[in-house]
Amino acid sequence: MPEEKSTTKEILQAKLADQERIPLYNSKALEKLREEFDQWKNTVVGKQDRENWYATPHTIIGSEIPREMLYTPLNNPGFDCMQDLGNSGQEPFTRGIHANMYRGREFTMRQLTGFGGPEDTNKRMKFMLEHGATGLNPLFDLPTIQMYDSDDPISEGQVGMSGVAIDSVEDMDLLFKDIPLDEVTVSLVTHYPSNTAILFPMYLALAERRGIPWDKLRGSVQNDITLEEVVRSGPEYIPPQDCFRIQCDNIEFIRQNVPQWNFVTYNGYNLREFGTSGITEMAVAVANAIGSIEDMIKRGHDVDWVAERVAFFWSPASDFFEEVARIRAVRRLWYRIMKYRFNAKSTRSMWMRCHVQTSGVSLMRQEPLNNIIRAAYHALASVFGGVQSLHVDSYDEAYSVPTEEAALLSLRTQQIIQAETGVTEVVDPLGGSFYVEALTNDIEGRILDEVDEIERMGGYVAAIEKGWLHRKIADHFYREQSMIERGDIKLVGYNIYKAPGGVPPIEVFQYPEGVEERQKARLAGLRKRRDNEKVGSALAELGEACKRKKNILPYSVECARVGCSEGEIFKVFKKAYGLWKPPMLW
Amino acid sequence: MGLAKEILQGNVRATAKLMRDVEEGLPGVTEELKILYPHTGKSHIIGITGSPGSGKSTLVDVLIDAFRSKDKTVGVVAIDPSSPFSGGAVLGDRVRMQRHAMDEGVFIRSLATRGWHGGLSRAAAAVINIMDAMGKDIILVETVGVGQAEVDIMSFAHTSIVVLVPGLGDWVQTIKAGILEIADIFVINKADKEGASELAVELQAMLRLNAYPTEAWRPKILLTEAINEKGVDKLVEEIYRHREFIAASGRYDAHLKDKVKLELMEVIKGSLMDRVSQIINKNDYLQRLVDDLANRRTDPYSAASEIIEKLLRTLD
Amino acid sequence: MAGRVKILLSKLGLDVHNRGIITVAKALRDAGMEVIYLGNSLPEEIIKSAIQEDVDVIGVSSLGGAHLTLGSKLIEGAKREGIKDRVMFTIGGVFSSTDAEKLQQIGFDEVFEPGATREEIVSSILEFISSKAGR
Repeated sequence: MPEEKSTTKEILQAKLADQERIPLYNSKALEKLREEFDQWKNTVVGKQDRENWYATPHTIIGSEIPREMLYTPLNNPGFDCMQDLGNSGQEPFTRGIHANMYRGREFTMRQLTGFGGPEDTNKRMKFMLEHGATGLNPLFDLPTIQMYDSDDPISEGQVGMSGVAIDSVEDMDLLFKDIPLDEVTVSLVTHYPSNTAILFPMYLALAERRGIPWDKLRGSVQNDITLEEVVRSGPEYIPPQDCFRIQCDNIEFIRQNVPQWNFVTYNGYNLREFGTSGITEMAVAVANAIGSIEDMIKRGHDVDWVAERVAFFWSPASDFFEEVARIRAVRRLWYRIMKYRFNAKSTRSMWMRCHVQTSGVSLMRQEPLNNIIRAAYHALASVFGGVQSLHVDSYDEAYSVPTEEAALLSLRTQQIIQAETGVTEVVDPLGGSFYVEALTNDIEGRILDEVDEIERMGGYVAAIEKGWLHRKIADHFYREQSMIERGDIKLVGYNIYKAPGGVPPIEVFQYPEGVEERQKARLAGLRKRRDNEKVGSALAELGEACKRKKNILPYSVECARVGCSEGEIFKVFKKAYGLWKPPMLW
Repeated sequence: MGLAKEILQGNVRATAKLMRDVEEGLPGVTEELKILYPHTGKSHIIGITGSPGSGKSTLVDVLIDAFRSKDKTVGVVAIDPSSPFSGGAVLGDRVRMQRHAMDEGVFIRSLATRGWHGGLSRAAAAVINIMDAMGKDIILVETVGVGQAEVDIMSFAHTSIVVLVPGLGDWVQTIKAGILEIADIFVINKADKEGASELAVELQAMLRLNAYPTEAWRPKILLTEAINEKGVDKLVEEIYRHREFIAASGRYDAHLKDKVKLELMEVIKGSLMDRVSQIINKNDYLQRLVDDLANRRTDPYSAASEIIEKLLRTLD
Repeated sequence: MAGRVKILLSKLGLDVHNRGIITVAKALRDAGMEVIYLGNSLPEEIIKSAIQEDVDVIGVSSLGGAHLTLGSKLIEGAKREGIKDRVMFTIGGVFSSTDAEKLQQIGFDEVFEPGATREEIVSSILEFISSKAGR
């Protein structure tokens, strides 16, 4: 860490110290309250409760933050309403990025879909659209995610399972058959910078073929180095610094050429699900975002040019109020970072836009219908936190790709919150709660502390290379497993209130047959039909661009256009950058 | 058991089984090893050590490749420490060499140290001999960390390689452990990292301070990026150069004699400890001794004498 | 059998999740076993490695849906190489009870369904090993 450069935490502390604060609570009232509170605590509150004033909720992937029995203004005596809370749609955006939040727009309801061959998923996506889904979220199969072709020996027996198999632009075409790309928002679940740089170009090439200009396309990609280098087990990795560069290439190219597309979704979800606390989840995403913006600035771009479209992806889990407070905390923190660290001029840059997916690891196999209830609470907490878009996990998450029935129930969970509970009529309904505001402050501080730790290590890429993050994860999930087995983390139907007798059988999704053969046949056909000279030269030029550290996207799009397969493109990356071996997790 | 015969024919399963039996100290093992011993001494044994994170396993992986492309068969012994608490271990070196899993010319074996005093796995010497007898041209022995084990392994290997990495601070450790005297080749891996050339310069300076007699081998410092297979050809060249040197200079014989002497001492130690274990673990003997010692009713010297007396009596 | 249990753990195929298998690896180590970890592997590689390492148990993890396809390849390969009876085959991950039964029928000695605790895994392995005739 270069000595001269201040960390984000130092900058924020300095800038915020300068600001004038007007405490909301008058000191006389606080004094009186203090007296009354202490008296109450000693006379009305029982000895047991006094001695156990702090209780720590133990949940899966919870942050183990202790809570007091009762919260009052005394937990936030210096509370400055305008500085700390503001109004919705106004700095510091604690209450929400829009003034009217859900009154003005419904939270996008989008369910993950993906299995079999592109034609199978195409059918399911059309079904979801007919039943009210407002966006599409295709999930790819393991060979596609790991960037191997369906006919690669390493893919054998795994094609089309737990996601859709996509090998080329032609498969993309089948996937989106009869779906108007300029009318739907599509979240392409391309986790890694590398597979984003391969699959998104195929989507773009498809739009071209259909005569749809790229500026009409709406949607997002994940494009996060954390997913490629930290939370994935795979046979081959490229080095973190190259992966990060591709992440930034993706950001730059998409921002320049596909203006309505969200080019990055900072994670978030997959990291936390893998095994970290809600604090680390957010610190890592924020550190990654800071690093990317710094890189964009180095490339000569304006902060606002990039930051206006940055988005995050969180995993709301079971500790209800932690989830509400966390989202508010990181929203305020992000605003402060953009305003004071990066001097953003545009309001849009200061918004912490987020999509959430309810936590999968918090769901249990025992009594699976309980998961509908768990997921509903996760979803409700997200709504209270003020998220932009929501995916509710299906109750059969622990088994396989959700059945149609389970997927529909997830959609209904969101629709019922939106249409029946009335909670979306009021913006930030929990704002002002002594508890929620105190917890929001606490969590913001903790996240910033971890961001600081990462920066002092040399930044996010360094934290990955040094194994810091890997070790944190390894410690966390081992500890958590112990807590579950000891019963410190209570799970209804699993380690408490266990039901006598058997558990009802669950109808499980049946994978369509013959997907692997069909994909192999398609690939064979494509390889014959395409202009293999063009393929060869497109791949060669891509390789050159990789070595020269130019933005590789235009070359990748060309590869997609001429019908290169995913595996062929990934091979080019591997050859150009070499392979990296991630640190061991013991 | 008849394993030795099959091992001499290169049978993988018999080899794996005998190695296991050696680790477990099963009866009949020594008989098999006796049959194999005359057939050992043919392999070129290369010891590779260095701190965790230096990329040793990846280096081993690319060395396997290099030797295989010269049509040499390769054995690999990858040693990792056992947990001092549970006695178990996670042996994860193999994962870095998995691309050779299907190659019939490569035999990879993971060993846990099993708390063996002296750092090296007790079974390591025997396992190396078994691979030797099996007919492997090259045996790569990989150990972790910098310490006693590494000094031991140097004695078993013909060529000892110490792997360093810029920025990991193992520089200081190296000096402490006296590795400087024992390494035949120094490799600075991950040489694309910052600090690589500085480390090379520092190391060079330290080596110059060593007094080498004129006819001695002077260790070279090589830079590699194992993961990108850079610098590996030069390393292989250097390994061969060392092999030729020790063969030509008569160092080979001297080394061989040191090696077999060490082997002998290790076997004796092991054997004695086995017999002593049998004695002290009978009934509560050890417990009682420990109790007495703790309460100062006896002292370690008298206790040891007593045990040795018993041992000698059992030998009569 | 005497001495330490050796177990080979591997992710089956291209599965990305390794949280579970790493937790299990540590638990097995803490129970005194020697764990050889292979990362992502295909059935033939697992079998070749298991033979070289002379393991007592092969444990594979599958959350990607390929448990039946690759799982049966593993068992078939084991039979072909003649190690099916000498080695204990276990599998863990995400699959339904119906598939769990199928895996038993295919030939897995123990199938750990989602939610299996580390204790359960460790003890069922130790039990199986000790009840089997000695090596």
